[in-house]
Amino acid sequence: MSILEKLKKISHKEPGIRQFCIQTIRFKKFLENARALLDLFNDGREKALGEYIFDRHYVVSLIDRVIERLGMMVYDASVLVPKNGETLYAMYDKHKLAASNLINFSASGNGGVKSGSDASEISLSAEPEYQLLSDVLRWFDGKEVPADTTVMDFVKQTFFYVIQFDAIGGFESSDSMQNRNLFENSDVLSSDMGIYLVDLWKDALELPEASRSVRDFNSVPLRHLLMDVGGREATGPKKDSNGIPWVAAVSEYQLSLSTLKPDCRFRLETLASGYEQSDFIFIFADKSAGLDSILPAGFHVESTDYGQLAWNLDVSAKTIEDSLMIIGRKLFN
Amino acid sequence: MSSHPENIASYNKDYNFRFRYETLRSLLNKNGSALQILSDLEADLNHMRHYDKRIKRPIQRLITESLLMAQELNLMTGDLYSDLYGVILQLRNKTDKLFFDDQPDGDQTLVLRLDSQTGPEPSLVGGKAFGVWHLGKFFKDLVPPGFVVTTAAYNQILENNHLHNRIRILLNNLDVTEDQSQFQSRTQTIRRLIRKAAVCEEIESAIKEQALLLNQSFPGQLWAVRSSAVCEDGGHSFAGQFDSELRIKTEDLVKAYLHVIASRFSDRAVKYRIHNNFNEVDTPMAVFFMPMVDPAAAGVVYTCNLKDPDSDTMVISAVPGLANRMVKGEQQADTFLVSKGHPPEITRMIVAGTTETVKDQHYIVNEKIVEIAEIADRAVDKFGHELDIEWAVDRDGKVYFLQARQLNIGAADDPAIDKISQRKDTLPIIEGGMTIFPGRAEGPLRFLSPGDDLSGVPDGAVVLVEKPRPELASILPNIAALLVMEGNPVGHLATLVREFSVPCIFRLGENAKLLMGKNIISVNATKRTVYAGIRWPGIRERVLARIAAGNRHQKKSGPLYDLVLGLNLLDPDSSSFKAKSCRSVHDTLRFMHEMSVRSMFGFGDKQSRVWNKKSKKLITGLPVKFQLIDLDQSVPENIKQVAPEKVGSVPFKALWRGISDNRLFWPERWEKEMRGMPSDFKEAVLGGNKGPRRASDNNYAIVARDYMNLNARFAYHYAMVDAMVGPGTEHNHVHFRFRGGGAADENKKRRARFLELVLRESGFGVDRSGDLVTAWFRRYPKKDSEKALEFLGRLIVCARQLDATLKNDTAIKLYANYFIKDQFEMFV
Amino acid sequence: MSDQPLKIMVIDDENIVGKRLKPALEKTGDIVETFEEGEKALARFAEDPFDIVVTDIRMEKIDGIEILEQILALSGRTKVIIITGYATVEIAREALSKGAFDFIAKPFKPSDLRAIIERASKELRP
Repeated sequence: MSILEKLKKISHKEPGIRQFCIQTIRFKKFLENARALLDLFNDGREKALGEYIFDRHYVVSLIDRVIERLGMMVYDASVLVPKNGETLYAMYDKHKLAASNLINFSASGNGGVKSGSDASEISLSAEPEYQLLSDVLRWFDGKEVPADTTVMDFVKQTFFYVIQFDAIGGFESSDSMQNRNLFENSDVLSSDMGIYLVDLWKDALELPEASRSVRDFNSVPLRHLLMDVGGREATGPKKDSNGIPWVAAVSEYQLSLSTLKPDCRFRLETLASGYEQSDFIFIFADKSAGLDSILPAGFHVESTDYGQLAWNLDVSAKTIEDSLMIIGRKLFN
Repeated sequence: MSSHPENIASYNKDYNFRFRYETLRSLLNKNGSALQILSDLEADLNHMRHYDKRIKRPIQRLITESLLMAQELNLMTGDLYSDLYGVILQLRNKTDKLFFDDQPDGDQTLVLRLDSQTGPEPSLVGGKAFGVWHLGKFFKDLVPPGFVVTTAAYNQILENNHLHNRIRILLNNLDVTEDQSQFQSRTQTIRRLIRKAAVCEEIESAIKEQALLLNQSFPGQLWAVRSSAVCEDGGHSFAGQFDSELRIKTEDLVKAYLHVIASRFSDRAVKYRIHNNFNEVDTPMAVFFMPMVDPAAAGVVYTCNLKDPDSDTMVISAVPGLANRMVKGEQQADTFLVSKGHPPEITRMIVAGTTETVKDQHYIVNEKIVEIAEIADRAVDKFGHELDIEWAVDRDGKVYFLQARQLNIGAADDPAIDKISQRKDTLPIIEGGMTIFPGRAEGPLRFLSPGDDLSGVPDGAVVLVEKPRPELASILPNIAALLVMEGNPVGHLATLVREFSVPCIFRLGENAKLLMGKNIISVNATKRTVYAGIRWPGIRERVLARIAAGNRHQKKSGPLYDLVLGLNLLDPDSSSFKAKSCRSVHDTLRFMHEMSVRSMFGFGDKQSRVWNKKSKKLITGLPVKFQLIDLDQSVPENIKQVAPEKVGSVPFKALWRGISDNRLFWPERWEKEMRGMPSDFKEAVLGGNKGPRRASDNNYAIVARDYMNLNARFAYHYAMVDAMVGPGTEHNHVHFRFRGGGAADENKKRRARFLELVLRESGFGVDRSGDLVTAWFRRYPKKDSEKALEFLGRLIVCARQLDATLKNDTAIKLYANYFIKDQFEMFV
Repeated sequence: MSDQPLKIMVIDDENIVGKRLKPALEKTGDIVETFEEGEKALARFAEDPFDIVVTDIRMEKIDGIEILEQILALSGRTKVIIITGYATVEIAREALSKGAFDFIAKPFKPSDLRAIIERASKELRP
């Protein structure tokens, strides 16, 4: 059996709770890599504003770092959704080529000629370093170039491949049923609410012996999500005709919430540790999920053909916790 | 973004390999960042509590990396190592338990009066100040009141003056610095930076406020300002390593404070920490301020006589005036032996610098010595262990205790031994190289050639090798010292040497062969000298005791060392090198790195050789065909043929430099010239018993910028090379496998033995079974790895000529010698 | 700040650095001269020493360390600030231990450099 077949088999045919946990952890890594890319874009934009002094070396290393990080993200995606790996790598290679063309083209001394300048200060944009940087920013996320040639577009594309086809949400109906069976057979249904609860690091090692209540979980974001949500059946996550529609995978500061509804896609990922730079909250929802009605203020929202992405990156754990309480109320009450 | 179906269709067959290569890269990347987290953690643990929150985060990140690496390794190997998941998950759950009780964040008080009933946090005030607080709790009247400028203040000052970064980079690698003047200039720079630092208003006014407050109750005008270092290990006292500033006027306290914190980076203090295997990071330091006692006499009490622990005697040393010069060892003291009892009794008094016994001394009356002994005896009861106490008696006869710390009976280190050792009569046999880990050792010399049986090395031996090889790790816990003629200070073995604290010198050079005739030798790895014979009394015993007790890790103990940092899997060839044997996160990393690289072995060969049109033909004048399959555009696009110099793959280029070495001989060229000759003649010339296979078969090399995987068939021979060569050392590897050949079995085996010999001589690890030779060369810097590949290139070409040549066993050594001495004309 | 303007020399073979730094540093009334070639800068310094020298560490003909050494040999009181790029920590370390006042990594804001210059000037004129 080839490695790919094996991979497909592992993640699609016999997921198992452990596999589910590991893929959830990998998904978070995937988001971290995407976030690091955004940070790199911002770094470049900041330097282009005119206040900083930089040289060509900075721009070249920025390109290298973007390509490296993009590679890490594509790798995670190809593990999460093996069947798209080949397509993703073909697209990735084009970006690598674009990157080396940017570097080589500017090295041959033609950097300033090609495109009109959009920097505010004429004197600055005439400098080859600035010219190269503005070309690079255009490649990252330029509005005036065809959208399907930017890195940002590729990031989004990769993202949708992952969110649509990965084994966790199980958006294809057959997967969805399998996942339900998996969770049903693993005794992870919470005893006080209609939600499957998985402890990422403990259940991956050993399945729980008895059913647990929400209170048995030492997960800060989960507690906030369900803080204002009542006990079983009264309020809170409810069974629908297809059974239990929600699954939350948690650790102390991490929460990964997705829906098993066959007709709806929703996924929330958050890390709210309070003492780490990497705290974030991220939500994907397709149109049927009605993201607008549940989202608190302060999120960065992007609407696309596939659905909506919303995130908040530079926030305190407190803000994330408050957001979770609001989202929990609106989702489950 | 639109995908391009036509390209993707042509991709299909390579993707399997591509994915595998990307998986290896991803795994090696994670391994690199995990090792970085590990070494930061190790440094942090020198000055943080094991349950500190700040430790918890990196540990969780580390275990997450490890778990994802396990997934990657299992993807590469078809789930061969699924045991790893359980091991890693368990490690995570065990470490989580350590942090279960959430500790509050560290106290950030900048200046602290030492008079509270509840003890101050030792990591905030440092060990010395904590000891004084402890003493004051029992003997309030004896201990002058004092205050502490805390480690939080130290951190703030470094932060405000942007010093953290500068100090860190100046300290980096100091432990491997061989250049003494460089060492001094670096520590000097750090001290200069600190002395010039600005102290913020908040700290300065707090110091003044405390000083005024204490001056009211203790109207002395002068101050003693002392370092109070943070060190979790009680075993290391830092005694006398840092400066004290004495007789300081109140207005000069801030300046004195800066001088004291600068003394943390005195040559002596830095060396002391390096010698004791503390990672040299800027662990914060507190400073302790105490009003000056104007002493008529001062000194130290050891509540137990270290030279005769069973004698029930205390040793009190005394000098007139201040004791600071005595503590530093610059002034000799008078010694009083006092028998414990009620009351204690002076049994003997020895005048400084003599063995003369007298009745009394003019500057201190015997009653005071007895009084000091009496209080010290009570202190031992209170503390529950023997003590080393600094005392002073002022001009009114009042006794003060200035400091107390635990007296370490077992580890009494007699400075006299150092003096004896400075015998000038013998000169070192060799001198030079670079210190990898300092220290002295003695023992019988063992020279180890590649392939020697490591289990035969006796405990306590001094081992000499030409090159560092990772296999040597397995003997490190049992040897006295390691001497290496070559070697790379950032390589893997060097890391392990430091881990095991084995005195070690690298790059001694060829001269080290002078040692080979010697039986016992003495090594001073700190000064990089090696002597014949026994040189330092007591050293041998200490070395053996250390090995026997297995206590090289004594200072590194605690659950985090067991679960995270410790490395137990040392020998990749041992049967216990398996997933289930991993006891720490470090073990899992080591294991996965090894297995991932191994799994690339031969993989390209399993791939079908029907590579698609994407491959490019290598243009070469040699009678050998190569198709290159490019993984990341290291080969120019849109061409069908590529010249070797246009290939961007570092490892491939290196290998090709070897293969295309113009000193090498290619029989196929002869073949052309011999066209028309009788075939049996050709056969005789060209070797082999069935005639050479056409060189028209394609060989495939999969290349990326930092990677290559080659499967080559030269005539009857099959060679495989898998190499990753990047700027770091951690990821680099060169793997080689060779088999087959159109010769009789005997000859094939001889050739395999020839390869084994040559490869070992060149620093490869080698495994041979029958005619299959497997060799590896790992974690070397880029340059060395490239050299190894060039070497392999030449070896592959030469080895194919040997089928008919190695007619008997003596020829093996002969040809190995030819090859090593670059006499390639012999391979015709 | 003292009344007297500081004399500042900027050396970098990437001309954009000097070009951008000169106006930024002159804003506070200090005297700034920029050089793209180390030799010319050193010759100028030998005629007339500067209070502060800001030099790139990695240049084609003569590197920052050499400049540092020669400047300090000519005038021990001069504060030398080193501009480093990525991955030149090793050299920055060498520069510090050879007496450089401080270093600043590219890319940087002129105001960051200004802050270092102010610290240096405090040492020059306490």
